[in-house]
Amino acid sequence: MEIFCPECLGALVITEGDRARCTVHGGFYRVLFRRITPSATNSPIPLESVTATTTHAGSAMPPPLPIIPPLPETAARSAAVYCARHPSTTATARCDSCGTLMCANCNLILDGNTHVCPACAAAWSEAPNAKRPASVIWSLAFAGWCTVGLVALLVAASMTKLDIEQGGKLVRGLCTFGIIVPAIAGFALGLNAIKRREKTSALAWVATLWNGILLLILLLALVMGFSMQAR
Amino acid sequence: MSNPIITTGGMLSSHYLEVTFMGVRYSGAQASGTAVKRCNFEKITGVLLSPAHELSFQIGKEIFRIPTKPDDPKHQAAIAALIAGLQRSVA
Repeated sequence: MEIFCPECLGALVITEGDRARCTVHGGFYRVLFRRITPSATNSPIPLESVTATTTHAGSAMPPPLPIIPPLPETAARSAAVYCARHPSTTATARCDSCGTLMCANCNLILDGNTHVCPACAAAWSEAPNAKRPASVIWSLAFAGWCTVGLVALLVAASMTKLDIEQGGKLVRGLCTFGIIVPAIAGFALGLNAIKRREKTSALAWVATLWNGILLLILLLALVMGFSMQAR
Repeated sequence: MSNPIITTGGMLSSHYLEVTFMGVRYSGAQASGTAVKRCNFEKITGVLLSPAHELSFQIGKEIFRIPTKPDDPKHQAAIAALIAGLQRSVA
C-alpha cells in the first residue's frame, strides 16, 4: 500500500533508514510504521527497522519514543495543501475520479471504498442506472397493454351493451387483472425510473404519466360504476 | 487501565486520538468541520511523524493528522501503543 504525504498527498520515497521524502514538496518525515503488502515486498524498509518501539509486558506506560531530531525544513514545505472547496481546510484525501484535493467533509465514500469529491459524486449519480431503462420499457409496455385493454373493453361495452352485472365475474376479472393491475405495475415501474436528484429520461416521464392517467380513468370508472350500482 | 490518549487543542482546532487494544479512535475538529474516525489496526497502512512532531496515520486513501508534543509522556506513550498495536496486527 502506497503511503502519501500527509501535507500534499504526494508520493513518498524512502531516502535513508526510516526517513521518507515527499516527491512533491520535498518535506521529510519519519516513517514509524508501514504496512507491507505482497505488492510492496520490494520496500526498502524492513518492518523490524521501521520503529524501535516495543511495549513491555505488564507495563501500563510503554517507554517513551526517542525525541526525533528536527529535519531540514524546506521552503516548499510551508505551503500546505488545502481542500479545493474549502480553502481554509487542509486536504485529507484526493478524489479517485478527478484527483482533486478534498477535506474530510468533502470526502464522499461510495460503494467499493471509492473516495470522490462532491462534484464527481454528483456527476456519478447523474449517470443513468443500468436497471432504469428496463423499468421504463416495462412501464411503457404496461401502459400500451392497459390502453388497448381499456379501449377494447369500452368498444365492446358500447357495441354489445355489455352489462357488468350480467357479465359477472369474467368481466370483473378481466378488468381487474387485465387492466388495473398492469396499470398499477406500470405506474410503479415508472415511478421507480424517476429518481430525485438524478437525470430522468423523457420516456420515463411519459410512461409514468401515461399509466397514471390510465389509473385515474379506471378509478373514475370504478367510482361511477359503484355509484350507478348503488342507485 | 485507561487507554493512551493524545489530546491537543487550540483556538480554532482540537484533536483527539485514543489508542485502544483493537485500534484507534480519532477526532479532528477544525473551524470548518470535524472528522471522526474509528478503525482497527489492520486498516492503518502507515504512520508518519513530521519534523514538527505532527503524527499522521493513513487509512486507505485518507490521512488523519494530530499534533503531538515530544516532551509529553502521554503523547509518547500513545504513539508507542499505536506502533505496538500495528506491529501486533502484522504479526
